Amino acid sequence: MSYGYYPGCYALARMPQYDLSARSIMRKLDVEIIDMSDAPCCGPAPIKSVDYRMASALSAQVLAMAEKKGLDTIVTLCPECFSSFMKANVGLEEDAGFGKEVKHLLSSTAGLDYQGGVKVKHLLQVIHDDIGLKKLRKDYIIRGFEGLKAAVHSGCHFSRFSASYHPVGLEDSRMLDELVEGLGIESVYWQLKSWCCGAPILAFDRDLSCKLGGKKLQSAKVSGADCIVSLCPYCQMQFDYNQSIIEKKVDKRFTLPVVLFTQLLGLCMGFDKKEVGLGMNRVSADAILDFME
Amino acid sequence: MERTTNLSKVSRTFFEEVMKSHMGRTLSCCYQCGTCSSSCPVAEEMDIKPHEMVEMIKLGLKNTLVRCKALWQCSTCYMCTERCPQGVKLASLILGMRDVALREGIVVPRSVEESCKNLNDTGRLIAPSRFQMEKRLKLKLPSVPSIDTESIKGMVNKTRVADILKVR
Repeated sequence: MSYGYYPGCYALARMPQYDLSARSIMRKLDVEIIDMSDAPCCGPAPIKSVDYRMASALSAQVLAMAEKKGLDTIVTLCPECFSSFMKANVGLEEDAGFGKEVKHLLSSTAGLDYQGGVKVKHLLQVIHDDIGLKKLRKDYIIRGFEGLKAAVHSGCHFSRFSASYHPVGLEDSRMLDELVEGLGIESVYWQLKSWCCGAPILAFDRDLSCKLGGKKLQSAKVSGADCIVSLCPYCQMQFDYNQSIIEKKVDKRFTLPVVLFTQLLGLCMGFDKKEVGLGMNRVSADAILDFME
Repeated sequence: MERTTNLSKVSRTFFEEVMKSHMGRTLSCCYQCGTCSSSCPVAEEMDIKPHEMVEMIKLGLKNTLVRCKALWQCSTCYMCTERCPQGVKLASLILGMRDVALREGIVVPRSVEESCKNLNDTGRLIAPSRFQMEKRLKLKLPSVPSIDTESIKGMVNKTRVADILKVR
């Protein structure tokens, strides 16, 4: 079975290490993909703020494109895309009047009809559920970490039921924790674990965004974590790309490496540092390599 | 923020309008327990707290609500919605209130305008720069295809995005 691969704009345009490491591990795991990088925007929060109907029509357009290609599942790297698609799927069904409006907007502009029912998955779900951690450990993981402590951050739009309507658990999904623990990494308790990273308000209120980011980084730091593990390109951007900006704003030093789960998994599957793009993370993540067996 | 209200400024239709919208249809279930505000990571910075927003809609205080700073401080983390014992979809409601604010011509944060412009021009919220394209090439990643924006432009013309971009 093939998945429609929709990496999302941030991984495509600003975070090649995510796309790179994801493609590397999918190739090795024999996950067949049909590239859907030519599909338009998913209709995220900034568009929802202007016109919710248009945002839903955009989500439905991508789903309709997948449907037309005969794909029954889209796999994405970005929780924002994930949540937009899931919300469109549920919203169009649940609110018939709204669904009709959105479908009309879509068919009158893009000439597409969306029948509904294209499944949406985050890459983590494909690995965790479709392949399974048991098989992953048995057949693909050739080395692990020892003594590495990670602050796992699952990303709001992935881990909250109300953001995506998928039953992975309330508030704090354990899915990423389980994967990380399977690699020999200890997932530490940190007080602000389920809090937002602050990235979505970066463009509206920079100070507040940095304040939130600072609180999160501080909480991860005092929990004794050696790194933060993320699955969302925007959270990754906030913690890694913006760490030095946050440090200046809140007047604290963190120097906390932030790695994507695909990078960690890739390393344990035998890829080297370059193949998972570890060098492209802004805060040097080389320290975590010392924990590799 | 003004805490007293001139009754002539109260909108008698606002509550019903919001209840009819896709984003607002769960609103009436709120019983003001304040779980949303105590769960919100940015509530302490807000001039109007999330639970107050709901009550203000019920009271028809549209003018004050659409002008508050808090509307744009919501990080859409869905913690409020997750914990609401009454199933009020507050995060979506706040997104809907931004929509109302924009319709009233109140504020258009520059970033929203930019997002709409990028969407209209490239079909993506963020389009890769030439530098990033070259970087991908060096990494042997497939180049990012350009998107046929005709359908997007059609959508833009039929929605409020056109007003933001002043293309109508």
